[in-house]
Amino acid sequence: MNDLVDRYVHSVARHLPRESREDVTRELRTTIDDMVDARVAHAHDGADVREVLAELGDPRVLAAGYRSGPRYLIGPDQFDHYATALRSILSIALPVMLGIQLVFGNWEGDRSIVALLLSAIGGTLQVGVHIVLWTTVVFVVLERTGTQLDEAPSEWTPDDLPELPPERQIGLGDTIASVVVLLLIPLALLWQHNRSPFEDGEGAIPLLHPDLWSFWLPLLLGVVLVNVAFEAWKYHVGRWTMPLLVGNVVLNAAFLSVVGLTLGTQEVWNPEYLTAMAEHSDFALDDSPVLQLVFAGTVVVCVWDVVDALVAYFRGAKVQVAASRPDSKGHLA
Amino acid sequence: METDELLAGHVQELRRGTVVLASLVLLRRPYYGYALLSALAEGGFEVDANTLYPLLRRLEKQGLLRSEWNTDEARPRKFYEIAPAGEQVLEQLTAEWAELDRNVRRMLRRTTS
Repeated sequence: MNDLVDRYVHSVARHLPRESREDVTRELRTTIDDMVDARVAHAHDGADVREVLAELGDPRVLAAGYRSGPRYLIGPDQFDHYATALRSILSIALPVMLGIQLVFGNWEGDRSIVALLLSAIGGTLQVGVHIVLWTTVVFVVLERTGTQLDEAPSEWTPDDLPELPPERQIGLGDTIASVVVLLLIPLALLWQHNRSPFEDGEGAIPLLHPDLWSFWLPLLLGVVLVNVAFEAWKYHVGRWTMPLLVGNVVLNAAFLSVVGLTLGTQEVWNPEYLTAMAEHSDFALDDSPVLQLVFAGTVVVCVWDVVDALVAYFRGAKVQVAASRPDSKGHLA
Repeated sequence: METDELLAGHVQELRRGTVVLASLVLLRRPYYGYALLSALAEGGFEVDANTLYPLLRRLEKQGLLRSEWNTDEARPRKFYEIAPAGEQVLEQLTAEWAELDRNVRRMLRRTTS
């Protein structure tokens, strides 16, 4: 019988802070004895330690009542900041990481596209887990040290209300589409490096000149990655602003320059590929205007992108001015 | 059935704060844990044991109660008694209680006439 009491008291004590453990358990023990005696005195048949312990309930719950400290990692004050931080870090870092892994994960070039994709996704997930873990740790420390992220959370006034967010110009769909299109470039480059209709003793014969990998293609991939990061930034801001507009022009110019310089100054086609192709078909790649077409296409896409952004910027600015002015009836447009 | 549960929840909500008030009143005289539990029950305040004991500790930590081990008898017991700060709180809580009661009565009179 006493065994039960010992076990109960021990179960409570385990969850108590050291400094109050002895005093609480001592009091708890006499309390249990009192409760049992009271039942006996009232002539309860079979009055029992068991009943008393059942009345006191789950030892963990009782112990929780004695503890005063917080029983959560991140409290309501910090939670919104925590969620926002996680969301914005993940939404930027994960696409960038995926891009980096897709481009640099297969430098050796001896793995299939599926294996490359799998390892890139796995690597990105790992990075995600780390981001979540360390962000959480930072916020738990902030919580435990009582750091307030809000300057004066108690003295809120209506003036603290944020402006209504301007309508979003740059949607998630647009951003995903842009990133996917951008990532097609590294994928295509890796693909042509590893897969080819022509093979020799060493394996596939790449379409593009292997020497390009010493400088020009990595440079191109770098520009593509910066573009992916830019797309994330663009989405984060949500609408066209002057810094975004400038960044857009600079990146388009950089992309166009790298493509133009590569096509204009380098030997683009792999001579072995041309030879192999000549054996199988009449089409002479090096005599065709393919490169000129590629360059022209790139110019069109880049110029279109810049003009499109400019139009959206000025249209957005107009909409905002109109929205902030009430019409004659006092309603917002 | 469902309304019974609903009612029980609201009643519990309503009574929650009054346990502190009733305990402070009784503890103008020293009590040990189980004796206080019984006295509260006798006075119409049925409190769960696992609610009351931790509550006493918290009130002591807040300085509203003070406690002392009495080892004169065979079974050593921890006796609690109201502290001066507790008296002040009790006074204000009592006044608050009286006002709540007045206000509820007044509103009831207005709405039922």
